[in-house]
Amino acid sequence: MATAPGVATPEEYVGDTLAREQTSLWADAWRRLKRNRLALGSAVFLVLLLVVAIISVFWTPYPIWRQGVAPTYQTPNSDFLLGADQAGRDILSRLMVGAQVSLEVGVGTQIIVAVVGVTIGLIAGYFRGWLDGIISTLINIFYGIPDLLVALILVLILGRGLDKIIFAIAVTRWMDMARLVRGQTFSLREREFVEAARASGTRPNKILSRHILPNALGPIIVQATFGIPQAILFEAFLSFLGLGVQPPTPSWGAMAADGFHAIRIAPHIVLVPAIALSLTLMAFNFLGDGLRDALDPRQKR
Amino acid sequence: MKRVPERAPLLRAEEVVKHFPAGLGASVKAVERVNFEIYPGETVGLVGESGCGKSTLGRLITQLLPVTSGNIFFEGVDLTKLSGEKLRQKRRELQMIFQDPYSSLNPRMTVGDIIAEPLENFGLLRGRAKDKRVQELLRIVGLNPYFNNRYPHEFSGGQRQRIGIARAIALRPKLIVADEPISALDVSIQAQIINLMEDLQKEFQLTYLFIAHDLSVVRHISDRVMVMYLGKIVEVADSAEIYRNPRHPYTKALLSSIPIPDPEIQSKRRIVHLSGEIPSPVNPPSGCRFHPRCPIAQVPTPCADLEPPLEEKARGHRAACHFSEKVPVAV
Amino acid sequence: MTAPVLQVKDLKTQFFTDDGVVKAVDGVSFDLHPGETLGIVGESGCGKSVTALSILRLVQEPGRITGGQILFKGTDIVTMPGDDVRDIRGKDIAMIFQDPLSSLNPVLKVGYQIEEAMEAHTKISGKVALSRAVQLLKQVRIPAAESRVEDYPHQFSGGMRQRAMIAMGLANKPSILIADEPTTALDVTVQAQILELLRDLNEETKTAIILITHNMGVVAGLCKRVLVMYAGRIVEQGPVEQIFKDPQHPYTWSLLQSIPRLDADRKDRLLSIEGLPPDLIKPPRGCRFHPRCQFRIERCFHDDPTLMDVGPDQEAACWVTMRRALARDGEARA
Repeated sequence: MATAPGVATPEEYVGDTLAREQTSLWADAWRRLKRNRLALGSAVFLVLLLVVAIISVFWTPYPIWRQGVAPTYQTPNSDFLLGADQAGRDILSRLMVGAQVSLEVGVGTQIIVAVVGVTIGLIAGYFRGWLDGIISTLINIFYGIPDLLVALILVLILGRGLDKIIFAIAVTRWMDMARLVRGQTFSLREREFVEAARASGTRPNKILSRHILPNALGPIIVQATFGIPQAILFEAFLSFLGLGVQPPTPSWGAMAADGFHAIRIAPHIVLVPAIALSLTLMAFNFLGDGLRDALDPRQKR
Repeated sequence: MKRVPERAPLLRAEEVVKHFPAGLGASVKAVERVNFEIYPGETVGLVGESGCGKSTLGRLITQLLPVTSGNIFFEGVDLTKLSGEKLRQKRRELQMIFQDPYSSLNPRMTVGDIIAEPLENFGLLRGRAKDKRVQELLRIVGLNPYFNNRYPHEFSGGQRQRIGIARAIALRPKLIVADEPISALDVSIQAQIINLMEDLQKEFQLTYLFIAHDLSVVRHISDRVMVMYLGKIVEVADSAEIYRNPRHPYTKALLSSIPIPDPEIQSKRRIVHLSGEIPSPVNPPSGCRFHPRCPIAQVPTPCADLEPPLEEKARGHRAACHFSEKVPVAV
Repeated sequence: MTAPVLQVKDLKTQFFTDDGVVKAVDGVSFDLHPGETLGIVGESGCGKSVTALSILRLVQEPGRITGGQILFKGTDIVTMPGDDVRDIRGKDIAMIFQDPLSSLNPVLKVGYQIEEAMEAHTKISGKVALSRAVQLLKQVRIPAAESRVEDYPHQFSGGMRQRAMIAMGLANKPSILIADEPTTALDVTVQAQILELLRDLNEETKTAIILITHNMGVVAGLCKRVLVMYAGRIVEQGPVEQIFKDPQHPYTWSLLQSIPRLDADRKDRLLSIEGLPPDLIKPPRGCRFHPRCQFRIERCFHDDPTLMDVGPDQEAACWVTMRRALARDGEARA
């Protein structure tokens, strides 16, 4: 028994006992995320927000563009739960549609950012050399130009459609992701399992897709989660300046801007979208924190 | 002895050099003009202390790193001249076992996928046949074949090293470079892995380059031993001969430093003191690289200004020392 | 014989993790006499390092000493107030670790850190402290000690850093020096020198040394007495010569048989201990080694052995012992 030969007969595998039984690392991360109340609460809030946004596609309490459904500057009451604005439009209805805009902008930009940033980052980090040189220079150039300027110019050229705004914000936001993925790829490429894959004749595209990307996915998800509120805030800011989505489509930023001149007589017009915006930004940030803790293997006992 | 010297070598390294850029125009001279052969079916041990270039040399042979200059002939084909698909095809015959059983397996892949990957890379087997082969490989390395859906982190260090070995033999390679395959494992597990590697060698006619820092392990598993110091091979001999009759003072110092688990012998041994520490490979010493620490060096001539060639001192025993006959015998 | 300087009695240290209670040290007892060199050997997770940390009450959350006594010159460290333990640390009992680089502060000069170690426990003037630091560096054989005290840790090589750590450990002339794998991160030639240094210092200063290691060879070179640990317990203890020549516990015996020896001729196979060390959350019933033991008898499955005399000053926790096991095998063969 103790002198059993290395080539074991079927009844005496040394590996018959597992050191520890566990599911995949993803399931493990999910288990840890579930224990984080703040992150879980934020996730629930965001799901509710998503549900509200989806409902608003089909139904809102009042039509969002019709003016004078309520007295102007109406404070919240039982008919108009969040009151009405200076044109007598129902704020709750507009807030619901605004959620749609915010989520579309946040998630939309991050999808573009993820696709572009991950691709560029993987290529720069894995192939290094002159490719990396060009990409790194490009990243630094984009960091050098003020993002507001870029976005403003793009919006002026392309117009104020939601898709154009998403594109304009993505153009100013892809560098963080690219830089993160490049760094991850850089260090993962030196790991022995990547060397082992190369040694056994794995082609570069497969090394990137099977070995490097899945191991960088944790930080990518975290980065994207933190990127969503940044994009939402950026859109709100553009709308506040009057350069966001085309009215009458309500955006939280535009709603706040609308109420700004009447802040003394009807503060709720500014407060309602501002609070919605803050809660959403906070929720995404808490969720991002929770995801980081859950996905970071160094946190492991 | 398994070695049949008349046969053509499986691998021949000629004047292999590897320099890494170290900034400001300096370079780390990790491997400097190294020559050696590996014959089919033998195990060659490569020992040396950290930073001597042994792991780099292993990666040059498996072409995970490109050489700076020199040639590596594998069955007569110069690996350093190959690239792209031609090199990839050659990798089937040249595999590697890594030191760290924790970082050498992709944590996001199942054990079955890890072992199957080399087979897929060359389109050797598909579907059921591939699964069967993976299970067979698991059984060969002593693991339960039904663990193929498990993830690496569910296994202990020794078990993981077995997975790494299964991956390395999946393509039935001719040469396996094992880079410190047991140094991360517990003592009681080390013997399991050494025995497994020896069994596999017999079963599949493998040739090993076994890289380690522990001369007693290397001596146990190897037919021949090469000792490296600061990027150079300083001595090559049969493993019994190198222990009984070291011809390089560095080998002698290494041998005297290795503790023997026997208090009576240990209390009588005297270690050979090497003065100072290993110099930087950015600016290696002139002449013999070992001379600043050598107890028998004659400075400046010849040791500090003349580099001793690695030459035959006895049959099958090469050493790079001007005064190899002065190295005291017996440990 | 003089009174022991340290007595560990039935020490139990446990880690309260999410998965359960890990009984890392489970009833360890031993004595350490003044000036003695004691080796504690075992594989990772056997409890040797946790034993060492427990002695200085350095076990970190979620770990806790849950039972037993650690008597230093008669006073129990386990129940002592925190301030008193801090007084003992570094002054009476010093500890050095595997990785000297992470134990040294990179932004402070080596000499300053040695001085600091002294000033933590005794009031001395800067000048005296400096000359004492130089003297300590000389004692650990660091060449050009006068200029080296002004160096930062990164200017030292790995071996010299470990020497500096030893110097720091010796700064207050402790009665015990605990060295936890002090040479594991070092190359063999440097390891040999550090071990020689520890041996010389033990003779010069009469400081007792507890050497924690996984390397049987290292114990053979330095220690007079040895404890072999497995799965949180001491399975064998005794004088080094005795244990190495005539091990009685199958684990000790197998460990010695499984290491390739430099001086042995190449043999076909190493003896290997199959299987894995047990899970210390739910250790096996009976003898903890029985699932991996090739000499086990029926009794080993359910009856947990304690340390029993098996030779002069030698104890092993085994129902079989190698003497009987080998005799039995001889009979079977005949």
